[in-house]
Amino acid sequence: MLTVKNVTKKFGNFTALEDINLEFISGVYGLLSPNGAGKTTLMKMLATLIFPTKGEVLYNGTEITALDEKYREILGFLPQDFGYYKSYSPVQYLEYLSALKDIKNPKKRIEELLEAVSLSDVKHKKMKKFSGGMIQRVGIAQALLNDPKILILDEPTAGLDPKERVRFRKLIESLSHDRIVILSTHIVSDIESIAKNVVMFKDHKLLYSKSPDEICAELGAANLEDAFMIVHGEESQ
Amino acid sequence: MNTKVNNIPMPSENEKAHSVELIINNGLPPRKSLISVITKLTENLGVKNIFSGVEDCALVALLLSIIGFFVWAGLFKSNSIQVKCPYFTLFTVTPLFYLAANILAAWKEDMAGVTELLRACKYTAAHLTALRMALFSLVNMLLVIPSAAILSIASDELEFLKLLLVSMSSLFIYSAFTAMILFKSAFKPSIILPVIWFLALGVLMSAIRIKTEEFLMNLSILTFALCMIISAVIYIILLDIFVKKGGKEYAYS
Repeated sequence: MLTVKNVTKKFGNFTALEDINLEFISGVYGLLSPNGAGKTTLMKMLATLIFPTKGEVLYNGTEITALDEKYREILGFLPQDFGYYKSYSPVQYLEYLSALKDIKNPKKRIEELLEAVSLSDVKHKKMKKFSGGMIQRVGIAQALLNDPKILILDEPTAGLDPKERVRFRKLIESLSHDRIVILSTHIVSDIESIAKNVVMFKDHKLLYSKSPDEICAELGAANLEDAFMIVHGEESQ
Repeated sequence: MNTKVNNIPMPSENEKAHSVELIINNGLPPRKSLISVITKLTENLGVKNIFSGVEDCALVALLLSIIGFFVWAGLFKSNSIQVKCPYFTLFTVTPLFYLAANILAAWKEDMAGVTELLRACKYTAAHLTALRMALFSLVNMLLVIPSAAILSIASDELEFLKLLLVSMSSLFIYSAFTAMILFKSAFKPSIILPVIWFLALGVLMSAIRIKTEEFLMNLSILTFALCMIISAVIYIILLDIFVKKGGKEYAYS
Protein backbone atom coordinates (compact mmCIF):
# COMPACT_ATOMS: atom_id res chain seq x y z
CA MET A 1 0.00 0.00 0.00
CA LEU A 2 1.25 3.46 -0.93
CA THR A 3 0.28 6.13 1.56
CA VAL A 4 0.49 9.89 1.22
CA LYS A 5 0.31 11.24 4.74
CA ASN A 6 -0.34 14.90 5.54
CA VAL A 7 1.75 15.98 2.59
CA THR A 8 2.32 19.63 1.81
CA LYS A 9 4.63 20.80 -0.94
CA LYS A 10 5.79 24.38 -1.22
CA PHE A 11 8.00 26.00 -3.80
CA GLY A 12 9.17 29.14 -2.06
CA ASN A 13 6.00 30.96 -1.04
CA PHE A 14 3.84 29.03 -3.49
CA THR A 15 1.92 26.10 -2.06
CA ALA A 16 1.53 23.45 -4.77
CA LEU A 17 -0.20 20.92 -2.53
CA GLU A 18 -1.62 21.32 0.94
CA ASP A 19 -2.18 18.65 3.56
CA ILE A 20 -2.87 15.77 1.19
CA ASN A 21 -3.86 12.37 2.54
CA LEU A 22 -4.26 9.47 0.12
CA GLU A 23 -4.03 5.71 0.12
CA PHE A 24 -3.34 3.62 -2.95
CA ILE A 25 -3.91 -0.13 -3.11
CA SER A 26 -3.97 -2.14 -6.35
CA GLY A 27 -6.06 -0.72 -9.17
CA VAL A 28 -6.15 2.34 -11.39
CA TYR A 29 -6.20 5.78 -9.76
CA GLY A 30 -6.91 8.71 -12.00
CA LEU A 31 -5.68 12.14 -11.01
CA LEU A 32 -8.14 14.41 -12.70
CA SER A 33 -7.68 18.15 -12.42
CA PRO A 34 -7.00 21.15 -14.61
CA ASN A 35 -3.40 22.10 -15.38
CA GLY A 36 -1.53 23.59 -12.45
CA ALA A 37 -3.62 21.85 -9.80
CA GLY A 38 -0.68 19.86 -8.40
CA LYS A 39 -0.97 16.51 -10.22
CA THR A 40 2.60 16.53 -11.50
CA THR A 41 3.94 17.67 -8.13
CA LEU A 42 2.26 14.71 -6.44
CA MET A 43 3.53 12.31 -9.09
CA LYS A 44 7.07 13.60 -8.78
CA MET A 45 6.89 13.05 -5.03
CA LEU A 46 5.65 9.50 -5.56
CA ALA A 47 8.55 8.93 -7.96
CA THR A 48 11.09 10.32 -5.42
CA LEU A 49 12.05 13.21 -7.69
CA ILE A 50 11.03 15.81 -5.13
CA PHE A 51 10.29 15.62 -1.43
CA PRO A 52 7.32 16.85 0.55
CA THR A 53 7.90 20.04 2.48
CA LYS A 54 5.75 18.50 5.22
CA GLY A 55 4.36 15.00 5.71
CA GLU A 56 5.58 11.72 4.28
CA VAL A 57 5.04 9.16 1.54
CA LEU A 58 5.09 5.56 2.76
CA TYR A 59 5.19 2.25 0.95
CA ASN A 60 3.90 -0.54 3.18
CA GLY A 61 4.62 1.66 6.18
CA THR A 62 8.17 2.71 5.26
CA GLU A 63 9.29 6.08 3.90
CA ILE A 64 9.92 5.66 0.20
CA THR A 65 13.20 7.55 0.34
CA ALA A 66 14.44 5.23 3.08
CA LEU A 67 13.62 2.28 0.84
CA ASP A 68 15.81 3.96 -1.78
CA GLU A 69 16.61 1.55 -4.66
CA LYS A 70 14.25 -1.11 -3.28
CA TYR A 71 11.44 1.33 -3.98
CA ARG A 72 12.76 2.35 -7.40
CA GLU A 73 13.04 -1.34 -8.30
CA ILE A 74 9.27 -1.66 -8.13
CA LEU A 75 8.57 1.72 -9.69
CA GLY A 76 7.65 2.47 -13.29
CA PHE A 77 7.54 6.15 -14.16
CA LEU A 78 6.59 8.11 -17.23
CA PRO A 79 7.34 11.81 -16.76
CA GLN A 80 5.17 14.46 -18.34
CA ASP A 81 7.98 15.37 -20.73
CA PHE A 82 9.46 12.06 -21.74
CA GLY A 83 13.08 12.60 -22.77
CA TYR A 84 14.98 10.46 -25.24
CA TYR A 85 18.06 10.48 -27.42
CA LYS A 86 17.05 11.23 -30.99
CA SER A 87 19.79 9.13 -32.53
CA TYR A 88 18.66 6.01 -30.64
CA SER A 89 16.17 3.40 -31.77
CA PRO A 90 13.46 2.23 -29.32
CA VAL A 91 15.34 -1.05 -28.83
CA GLN A 92 18.64 0.70 -28.06
CA TYR A 93 16.97 3.10 -25.66
CA LEU A 94 15.00 0.39 -23.88
CA GLU A 95 18.14 -1.75 -23.56
CA TYR A 96 19.94 1.19 -22.02
CA LEU A 97 17.12 1.83 -19.54
CA SER A 98 16.87 -1.91 -18.76
CA ALA A 99 20.51 -1.83 -17.66
CA LEU A 100 19.81 1.15 -15.41
CA LYS A 101 16.80 -0.68 -14.00
CA ASP A 102 19.00 -3.75 -13.43
CA ILE A 103 16.84 -6.02 -15.59
CA LYS A 104 18.50 -9.27 -16.60
CA ASN A 105 18.10 -10.52 -20.19
CA PRO A 106 15.66 -7.80 -21.23
CA LYS A 107 15.46 -8.62 -24.96
CA LYS A 108 12.30 -10.73 -24.74
CA ARG A 109 10.59 -8.22 -22.46
CA ILE A 110 11.49 -5.37 -24.83
CA GLU A 111 10.04 -7.28 -27.79
CA GLU A 112 6.80 -7.93 -25.87
CA LEU A 113 6.42 -4.33 -24.80
CA LEU A 114 7.13 -2.91 -28.23
CA GLU A 115 4.48 -5.29 -29.57
CA ALA A 116 2.05 -4.12 -26.87
CA VAL A 117 2.53 -0.48 -27.86
CA SER A 118 2.51 -1.24 -31.60
CA LEU A 119 6.08 -0.22 -32.29
CA SER A 120 7.50 -3.56 -33.43
CA ASP A 121 7.70 -2.40 -37.04
CA VAL A 122 9.88 0.57 -36.21
CA LYS A 123 11.85 -0.88 -33.33
CA HIS A 124 15.21 -0.34 -35.06
CA LYS A 125 14.40 3.07 -36.55
CA LYS A 126 15.94 6.19 -35.05
CA MET A 127 13.51 8.01 -32.79
CA LYS A 128 14.22 11.39 -34.40
CA LYS A 129 11.80 10.35 -37.15
CA PHE A 130 9.01 9.47 -34.70
CA SER A 131 5.79 11.39 -34.14
CA GLY A 132 4.80 12.64 -30.69
CA GLY A 133 2.44 9.71 -30.24
CA MET A 134 5.13 7.18 -31.12
CA ILE A 135 7.54 8.76 -28.63
CA GLN A 136 4.85 8.62 -25.98
CA ARG A 137 4.41 4.90 -26.68
CA VAL A 138 8.14 4.35 -26.20
CA GLY A 139 7.68 6.17 -22.89
CA ILE A 140 4.86 3.85 -21.86
CA ALA A 141 6.95 0.80 -22.82
CA GLN A 142 9.92 1.96 -20.74
CA ALA A 143 7.69 2.53 -17.71
CA LEU A 144 6.63 -1.13 -17.92
CA LEU A 145 10.12 -2.59 -18.43
CA ASN A 146 10.58 -3.81 -14.87
CA ASP A 147 7.01 -5.06 -14.52
CA PRO A 148 6.50 -2.45 -11.77
CA LYS A 149 4.29 -2.85 -8.72
CA ILE A 150 3.73 0.90 -8.78
CA LEU A 151 3.16 2.49 -12.15
CA ILE A 152 3.10 6.29 -12.29
CA LEU A 153 2.12 7.83 -15.59
CA ASP A 154 2.00 11.59 -15.97
CA GLU A 155 -0.36 12.45 -18.83
CA PRO A 156 0.35 9.20 -20.67
CA THR A 157 -2.25 9.76 -23.38
CA ALA A 158 -0.86 13.11 -24.53
CA GLY A 159 -0.20 12.86 -28.25
CA LEU A 160 -1.92 9.48 -28.70
CA ASP A 161 -4.57 9.19 -31.40
CA PRO A 162 -8.06 7.90 -30.41
CA LYS A 163 -7.26 4.34 -31.49
CA GLU A 164 -4.07 4.30 -29.46
CA ARG A 165 -5.86 5.77 -26.46
CA VAL A 166 -8.33 2.92 -26.49
CA ARG A 167 -5.47 0.45 -26.84
CA PHE A 168 -3.65 2.16 -23.96
CA ARG A 169 -6.71 2.01 -21.72
CA LYS A 170 -7.04 -1.71 -22.35
CA LEU A 171 -3.37 -2.25 -21.60
CA ILE A 172 -3.59 -0.32 -18.33
CA GLU A 173 -6.77 -2.10 -17.31
CA SER A 174 -5.14 -5.48 -17.89
CA LEU A 175 -2.16 -4.47 -15.79
CA SER A 176 -4.06 -2.97 -12.90
CA HIS A 177 -5.23 -6.12 -11.11
CA ASP A 178 -2.08 -6.72 -9.13
CA ARG A 179 -0.44 -3.32 -9.05
CA ILE A 180 -1.01 0.33 -8.27
CA VAL A 181 -1.48 2.40 -11.41
CA ILE A 182 -1.60 6.15 -10.90
CA LEU A 183 -2.20 8.20 -13.98
CA SER A 184 -2.81 11.88 -14.34
CA THR A 185 -4.88 13.41 -17.05
CA HIS A 186 -7.24 16.24 -17.77
CA ILE A 187 -9.10 14.10 -20.30
CA VAL A 188 -12.05 12.54 -18.49
CA SER A 189 -12.57 9.67 -20.94
CA ASP A 190 -9.04 8.39 -20.24
CA ILE A 191 -10.04 7.25 -16.79
CA GLU A 192 -13.82 7.17 -16.58
CA SER A 193 -14.17 3.52 -17.49
CA ILE A 194 -11.02 2.10 -15.89
CA ALA A 195 -10.34 4.11 -12.73
CA LYS A 196 -11.18 2.52 -9.42
CA ASN A 197 -10.77 5.89 -7.77
CA VAL A 198 -10.64 9.40 -9.13
CA VAL A 199 -8.54 11.90 -7.24
CA MET A 200 -9.52 15.54 -7.69
CA PHE A 201 -7.74 18.61 -6.37
CA LYS A 202 -9.16 22.07 -5.96
CA ASP A 203 -7.18 25.06 -4.82
CA HIS A 204 -4.22 22.73 -4.24
CA LYS A 205 -6.18 20.71 -1.68
CA LEU A 206 -7.64 17.24 -2.00
CA LEU A 207 -11.29 17.45 -2.96
CA TYR A 208 -12.19 13.84 -3.77
CA SER A 209 -10.62 10.42 -3.74
CA LYS A 210 -13.61 8.29 -4.59
CA SER A 211 -14.98 6.06 -7.30
CA PRO A 212 -16.40 7.85 -10.35
CA ASP A 213 -19.91 6.71 -9.36
CA GLU A 214 -19.57 8.08 -5.84
CA ILE A 215 -18.32 11.43 -7.12
CA CYS A 216 -21.16 11.66 -9.64
CA ALA A 217 -23.73 10.75 -6.99
CA GLU A 218 -22.37 13.29 -4.55
CA LEU A 219 -22.39 16.08 -7.12
CA GLY A 220 -25.61 15.01 -8.78
CA ALA A 221 -23.76 14.69 -12.09
CA ALA A 222 -24.78 12.44 -14.96
CA ASN A 223 -21.20 11.41 -15.66
CA LEU A 224 -17.63 12.19 -14.67
CA GLU A 225 -17.27 14.88 -17.29
CA ASP A 226 -20.26 16.72 -15.80
CA ALA A 227 -18.80 16.25 -12.34
CA PHE A 228 -15.50 17.68 -13.55
CA MET A 229 -17.28 20.69 -15.03
CA ILE A 230 -19.24 21.25 -11.82
CA VAL A 231 -16.02 21.32 -9.83
CA HIS A 232 -13.68 22.99 -12.29
CA GLY A 233 -15.98 24.57 -14.84
CA GLU A 234 -14.81 28.15 -14.33
CA GLU A 235 -11.13 27.21 -14.04
CA SER A 236 -11.22 25.15 -17.23
CA GLN A 237 -12.75 27.88 -19.36
CA MET B 1 -12.40 -22.13 29.87
CA ASN B 2 -8.81 -21.86 31.04
CA THR B 3 -8.44 -18.26 32.23
CA LYS B 4 -4.65 -18.56 32.53
CA VAL B 5 -4.41 -19.09 28.76
CA ASN B 6 -6.58 -16.04 28.13
CA ASN B 7 -4.49 -13.83 30.40
CA ILE B 8 -1.33 -13.93 28.31
CA PRO B 9 0.24 -10.48 28.64
CA MET B 10 0.07 -8.74 25.27
CA PRO B 11 2.69 -6.22 24.11
CA SER B 12 1.84 -2.58 24.57
CA GLU B 13 1.40 -0.24 21.58
CA ASN B 14 4.90 1.15 22.22
CA GLU B 15 6.43 -2.32 22.25
CA LYS B 16 4.63 -3.19 19.02
CA ALA B 17 5.82 0.03 17.35
CA HIS B 18 9.40 -0.65 18.52
CA SER B 19 9.33 -4.19 17.13
CA VAL B 20 7.93 -3.00 13.80
CA GLU B 21 10.64 -0.31 13.59
CA LEU B 22 13.33 -2.89 14.37
CA ILE B 23 12.07 -5.22 11.62
CA ILE B 24 11.88 -2.39 9.11
CA ASN B 25 15.36 -1.08 9.95
CA ASN B 26 16.85 -4.54 9.59
CA GLY B 27 15.03 -5.01 6.31
CA LEU B 28 16.15 -1.73 4.75
CA PRO B 29 18.75 -2.05 2.03
CA PRO B 30 22.25 -0.87 2.90
CA ARG B 31 23.36 2.15 0.90
CA LYS B 32 25.56 1.14 -2.00
CA SER B 33 29.15 2.29 -1.98
CA LEU B 34 30.86 3.98 -4.91
CA ILE B 35 32.88 0.85 -5.68
CA SER B 36 29.84 -1.45 -5.71
CA VAL B 37 27.87 0.97 -7.91
CA ILE B 38 30.80 1.36 -10.31
CA THR B 39 31.32 -2.39 -10.52
CA LYS B 40 27.65 -3.24 -10.91
CA LEU B 41 26.90 -0.47 -13.41
CA THR B 42 29.96 -1.20 -15.53
CA GLU B 43 28.96 -4.86 -15.54
CA ASN B 44 25.33 -4.06 -16.47
CA LEU B 45 25.92 -1.30 -18.98
CA GLY B 46 29.24 -2.18 -20.52
CA VAL B 47 31.74 0.58 -21.22
CA LYS B 48 29.93 1.58 -24.42
CA ASN B 49 26.58 2.14 -22.70
CA ILE B 50 28.06 4.11 -19.82
CA PHE B 51 28.45 6.94 -22.28
CA SER B 52 25.08 6.28 -23.93
CA GLY B 53 23.75 9.44 -25.48
CA VAL B 54 26.80 11.44 -24.46
CA GLU B 55 29.55 9.63 -26.41
CA ASP B 56 29.86 12.62 -28.74
CA CYS B 57 30.43 14.88 -25.71
CA ALA B 58 33.36 12.72 -24.57
CA LEU B 59 34.81 12.82 -28.08
CA VAL B 60 34.44 16.62 -28.34
CA ALA B 61 36.13 16.99 -24.95
CA LEU B 62 38.95 14.71 -26.08
CA LEU B 63 39.39 16.71 -29.27
CA LEU B 64 39.40 19.97 -27.31
CA SER B 65 42.08 18.62 -24.98
CA ILE B 66 44.28 17.41 -27.83
CA ILE B 67 43.94 20.75 -29.67
CA GLY B 68 44.61 22.57 -26.39
CA PHE B 69 47.73 20.54 -25.81
CA PHE B 70 49.10 21.23 -29.30
CA VAL B 71 48.34 24.95 -29.00
CA TRP B 72 50.20 25.04 -25.72
CA ALA B 73 53.04 22.92 -27.10
CA GLY B 74 53.30 25.38 -30.00
CA LEU B 75 53.49 28.33 -27.62
CA PHE B 76 56.03 26.42 -25.55
CA LYS B 77 58.16 25.68 -28.62
CA SER B 78 57.96 29.28 -29.85
CA ASN B 79 59.43 30.41 -26.54
CA SER B 80 56.42 32.60 -25.76
CA ILE B 81 55.41 33.82 -22.33
CA GLN B 82 54.11 30.40 -21.26
CA VAL B 83 57.61 28.96 -21.34
CA LYS B 84 58.38 31.07 -18.30
CA CYS B 85 55.67 29.37 -16.29
CA PRO B 86 55.13 25.84 -17.62
CA TYR B 87 54.09 24.36 -14.26
CA PHE B 88 51.49 27.04 -13.63
CA THR B 89 50.07 26.76 -17.15
CA LEU B 90 49.97 22.98 -16.86
CA PHE B 91 48.22 23.28 -13.50
CA THR B 92 45.59 25.55 -15.09
CA VAL B 93 44.82 23.55 -18.22
CA THR B 94 45.13 19.96 -16.98
CA PRO B 95 41.43 19.43 -16.07
CA LEU B 96 40.30 20.61 -19.53
CA PHE B 97 39.12 17.16 -20.67
CA TYR B 98 37.40 16.39 -17.36
CA LEU B 99 35.54 19.68 -17.15
CA ALA B 100 34.54 19.75 -20.82
CA ALA B 101 33.32 16.14 -20.80
CA ASN B 102 31.27 16.58 -17.62
CA ILE B 103 29.68 19.84 -18.64
CA LEU B 104 28.89 18.75 -22.18
CA ALA B 105 27.38 15.47 -20.93
CA ALA B 106 25.21 17.27 -18.35
CA TRP B 107 24.16 19.84 -20.95
CA LYS B 108 23.20 17.14 -23.46
CA GLU B 109 21.16 15.20 -20.92
CA ASP B 110 19.38 18.41 -19.99
CA MET B 111 18.64 19.14 -23.65
CA ALA B 112 17.36 15.60 -24.25
CA GLY B 113 15.20 15.87 -21.11
CA VAL B 114 16.18 12.44 -19.84
CA THR B 115 17.23 13.41 -16.32
CA GLU B 116 13.83 12.97 -14.64
CA LEU B 117 13.47 9.56 -16.17
CA LEU B 118 16.97 8.47 -15.12
CA ARG B 119 16.38 9.70 -11.58
CA ALA B 120 13.54 7.21 -11.18
CA CYS B 121 15.60 4.18 -12.30
CA LYS B 122 17.21 1.73 -9.85
CA TYR B 123 20.63 3.02 -10.85
CA THR B 124 19.93 6.68 -11.01
CA ALA B 125 21.31 9.71 -12.77
CA ALA B 126 23.47 10.30 -9.69
CA HIS B 127 25.02 6.83 -9.96
CA LEU B 128 25.61 7.30 -13.66
CA THR B 129 27.05 10.78 -13.14
CA ALA B 130 29.43 9.49 -10.45
CA LEU B 131 30.56 6.63 -12.68
CA ARG B 132 31.10 8.92 -15.65
CA MET B 133 33.01 11.40 -13.49
CA ALA B 134 35.28 8.62 -12.24
CA LEU B 135 35.91 7.43 -15.80
CA PHE B 136 36.47 10.96 -17.10
CA SER B 137 39.10 11.41 -14.34
CA LEU B 138 40.74 8.20 -15.47
CA VAL B 139 40.87 9.31 -19.11
CA ASN B 140 42.20 12.71 -18.04
CA MET B 141 44.92 10.93 -16.02
CA LEU B 142 45.86 8.89 -19.08
CA LEU B 143 46.10 12.08 -21.15
CA VAL B 144 48.34 13.70 -18.55
CA ILE B 145 51.05 11.01 -18.72
CA PRO B 146 52.09 11.46 -22.38
CA SER B 147 51.70 15.24 -22.07
CA ALA B 148 54.12 15.34 -19.12
CA ALA B 149 56.50 12.97 -20.94
CA ILE B 150 56.53 15.11 -24.12
CA LEU B 151 57.15 18.30 -22.13
CA SER B 152 59.96 16.79 -20.10
CA ILE B 153 61.62 15.54 -23.30
CA ALA B 154 61.20 18.99 -24.90
CA SER B 155 62.93 20.79 -22.05
CA ASP B 156 65.80 19.59 -19.88
CA GLU B 157 64.74 21.93 -17.09
CA LEU B 158 61.37 20.25 -16.61
CA GLU B 159 61.14 17.16 -14.48
CA PHE B 160 58.74 14.43 -15.68
CA LEU B 161 57.69 13.37 -12.19
CA LYS B 162 57.04 16.91 -11.06
CA LEU B 163 55.07 17.72 -14.21
CA LEU B 164 53.02 14.59 -13.64
CA LEU B 165 52.33 15.39 -9.99
CA VAL B 166 51.44 19.03 -10.74
CA SER B 167 48.94 17.81 -13.35
CA MET B 168 47.45 15.12 -11.11
CA SER B 169 47.13 17.56 -8.19
CA SER B 170 45.35 20.02 -10.44
CA LEU B 171 43.02 17.32 -11.80
CA PHE B 172 42.02 16.02 -8.38
CA ILE B 173 41.63 19.47 -6.83
CA TYR B 174 39.33 20.44 -9.68
CA SER B 175 37.48 17.10 -9.49
CA ALA B 176 36.98 17.44 -5.74
CA PHE B 177 35.46 20.90 -6.23
CA THR B 178 33.19 19.48 -8.95
CA ALA B 179 32.01 16.72 -6.62
CA MET B 180 31.43 19.26 -3.87
CA ILE B 181 29.26 21.35 -6.19
CA LEU B 182 27.14 18.29 -7.01
CA PHE B 183 25.58 18.52 -3.57
CA LYS B 184 24.39 22.05 -4.22
CA SER B 185 23.18 21.60 -7.77
CA ALA B 186 21.46 18.21 -7.34
CA PHE B 187 23.57 16.28 -9.83
CA LYS B 188 24.58 18.59 -12.64
CA PRO B 189 28.23 19.51 -12.94
CA SER B 190 28.00 23.26 -12.80
CA ILE B 191 29.31 25.75 -15.35
CA ILE B 192 30.22 28.07 -12.47
CA LEU B 193 33.26 26.08 -11.37
CA PRO B 194 35.21 26.18 -14.68
CA VAL B 195 34.46 29.90 -14.94
CA ILE B 196 35.84 30.50 -11.43
CA TRP B 197 38.79 28.17 -12.06
CA PHE B 198 39.95 29.83 -15.26
CA LEU B 199 39.10 33.33 -14.06
CA ALA B 200 41.03 32.97 -10.78
CA LEU B 201 44.01 31.26 -12.37
CA GLY B 202 43.88 33.67 -15.31
CA VAL B 203 44.03 36.65 -12.95
CA LEU B 204 46.95 35.05 -11.13
CA MET B 205 48.59 34.31 -14.47
CA SER B 206 48.35 37.90 -15.68
CA ALA B 207 49.16 39.54 -12.35
CA ILE B 208 51.79 37.46 -10.59
CA ARG B 209 52.56 34.58 -12.91
CA ILE B 210 56.32 34.64 -12.30
CA LYS B 211 55.86 34.64 -8.53
CA THR B 212 53.30 31.86 -8.76
CA GLU B 213 55.56 29.87 -11.06
CA GLU B 214 58.48 30.33 -8.69
CA PHE B 215 56.26 29.24 -5.83
CA LEU B 216 55.26 26.09 -7.72
CA MET B 217 58.85 25.38 -8.79
CA ASN B 218 60.08 25.68 -5.23
CA LEU B 219 57.55 23.20 -3.92
CA SER B 220 59.01 19.74 -3.50
CA ILE B 221 57.83 16.65 -5.32
CA LEU B 222 56.71 15.29 -1.96
CA THR B 223 54.43 18.30 -1.45
CA PHE B 224 52.78 17.73 -4.82
CA ALA B 225 52.49 14.01 -4.13
CA LEU B 226 50.74 14.79 -0.82
CA CYS B 227 48.51 17.36 -2.49
CA MET B 228 47.54 14.84 -5.15
CA ILE B 229 46.80 12.09 -2.64
CA ILE B 230 44.75 14.33 -0.33
CA SER B 231 42.68 15.83 -3.14
CA ALA B 232 42.15 12.39 -4.71
CA VAL B 233 40.96 10.97 -1.37
CA ILE B 234 38.59 13.93 -0.83
CA TYR B 235 37.26 13.46 -4.37
CA ILE B 236 36.59 9.75 -3.88
CA ILE B 237 34.94 10.34 -0.49
CA LEU B 238 32.67 13.03 -1.96
CA LEU B 239 31.66 10.80 -4.88
CA ASP B 240 31.02 7.95 -2.45
CA ILE B 241 28.75 10.15 -0.28
CA PHE B 242 26.96 11.32 -3.41
CA VAL B 243 26.28 7.74 -4.49
CA LYS B 244 25.26 6.57 -1.00
CA LYS B 245 22.86 9.44 -0.38
CA GLY B 246 21.09 8.30 -3.51
CA GLY B 247 17.60 9.69 -3.94
CA LYS B 248 17.97 12.18 -1.13
CA GLU B 249 20.26 14.33 -3.19
CA TYR B 250 17.92 14.76 -6.11
CA ALA B 251 15.00 16.15 -4.29
CA TYR B 252 15.20 19.82 -3.74
CA SER B 253 12.56 21.60 -1.78
